[in-house]
Amino acid sequence: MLKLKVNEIEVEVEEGLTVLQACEKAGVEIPRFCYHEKLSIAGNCRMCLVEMEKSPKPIASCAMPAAEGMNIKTNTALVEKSS
Amino acid sequence: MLKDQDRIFQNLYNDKGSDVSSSQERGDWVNTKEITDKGRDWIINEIKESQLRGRGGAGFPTGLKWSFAPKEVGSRPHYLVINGDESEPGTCKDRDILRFEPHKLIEGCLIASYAVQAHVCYIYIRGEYFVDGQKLQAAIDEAYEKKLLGKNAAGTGWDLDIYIHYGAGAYICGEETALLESLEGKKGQPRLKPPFPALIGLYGCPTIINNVETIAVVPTILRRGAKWFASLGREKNTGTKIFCISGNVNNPCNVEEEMSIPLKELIEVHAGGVIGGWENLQAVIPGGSSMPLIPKERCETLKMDFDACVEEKSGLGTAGIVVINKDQDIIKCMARIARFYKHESCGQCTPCREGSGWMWRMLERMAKGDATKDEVDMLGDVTNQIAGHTICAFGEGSSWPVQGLLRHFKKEIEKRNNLDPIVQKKNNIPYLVDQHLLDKKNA
Repeated sequence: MLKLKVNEIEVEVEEGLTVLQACEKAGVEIPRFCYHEKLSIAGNCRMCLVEMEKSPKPIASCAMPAAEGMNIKTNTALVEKSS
Repeated sequence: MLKDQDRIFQNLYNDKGSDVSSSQERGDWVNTKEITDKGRDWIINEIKESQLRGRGGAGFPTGLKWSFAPKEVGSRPHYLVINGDESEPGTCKDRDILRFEPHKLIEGCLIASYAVQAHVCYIYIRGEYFVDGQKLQAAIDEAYEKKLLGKNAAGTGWDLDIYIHYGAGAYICGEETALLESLEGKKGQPRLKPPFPALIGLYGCPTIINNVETIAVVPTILRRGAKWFASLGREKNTGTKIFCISGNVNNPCNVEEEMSIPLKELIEVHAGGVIGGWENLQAVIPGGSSMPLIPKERCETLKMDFDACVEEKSGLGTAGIVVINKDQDIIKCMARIARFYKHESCGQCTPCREGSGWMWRMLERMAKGDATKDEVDMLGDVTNQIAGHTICAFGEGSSWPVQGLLRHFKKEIEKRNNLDPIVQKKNNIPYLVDQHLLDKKNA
């Protein structure tokens, strides 16, 4: 199990899940167009960009695998502007 | 000024012959076995110490990149891919290496393949360089004949095969993951990272991708020592670099020079000066069309290396210097560049696909003076929405020149475009609100 923070809410998810799925688990819905759980990941609509600590650019949450110790923010001005 | 004996590409202008025997006279293929005998770790360490940075545009340290390759070859083979796509407008350095110094590149391929444990090396050349590619193929055939490639290449005990692949003319295939897709026979669209190509690359195998110039300087660095290379230029921006000077200069040329050479010296000494004199200079694009331009007053003191250009909020990129003098309409120039990026956007992700065309249409209007006052800020907003929000670096590449224009020539645009906006009052409507709902009173 991986531990990460989404908007300061701590969640535990299984390995192999994406950041988007981890956010769902924390009760944070991320808008998306191209992501669908039954399709392969395209990652091209850029609607699901979120901010990750230590990353200068926003990341596509549907394509980024969740990792231990991530600190995700989905409600900052940068995220709202970028998606 | 770079001394003649410090030049790596002695035959940049093809006055000494590009075949294998004249290359050997210049020092290629002389003691390749001695170099590889010192081992992989020594080679990678030496490249790290020389502080060689990738010559393809991003300036990523080459030694570091090689050390990302897995130490042991697992069930999947390793590949080395040489990026000779060179589609950046204003850049023509790789072409001269391919046709005039092919043996430097081939020897570099052998040493790099040995360092990252690859037995197969692909050279991806843009389709327009067909004749240059054939010259390289002739050089490869020559190397096979002399047993410098193939089984036990050049007596090093390492087997290496080199294949040339021609691109079909897409700018985006110069991006490393799009290049891999194209090489696999799919359409050239960048892949999502992670996973990085060093672990999962070509056909899902570990792959190291380097620019032609980066690989071609490797044998000389190893032969003359990392200290020699690091003594040229300045800290973290070491060595020599081929600068391609074009645009409004008297003598457009390719020239190998030391890093950190002043831009003014480069233009005045090697390119014969700006047309109409230095005072007639308007702006310079320092690194191929995807980098922001630098206005004249900054050009006086600018040193050409990666870090100094970044300080000026631009970048060295591929070192394709485009000089623009005052006879040119700077807004029109940028509109033309924006049109190029609109044409070359691969269409995979939304901000770039929609934004590059939007920027072009706006700039065309601004060049004619048909834009409204508020559109200048809107253009800046669009560039910020693209840069950093896309899969590959094309988003930055297409929006940076426009940002550079807005940073330095905003007054020029505002002077030309003074139509009043259609919507006079700014309502300060927040993002993510359906605009049509605001018309209803009880929404």
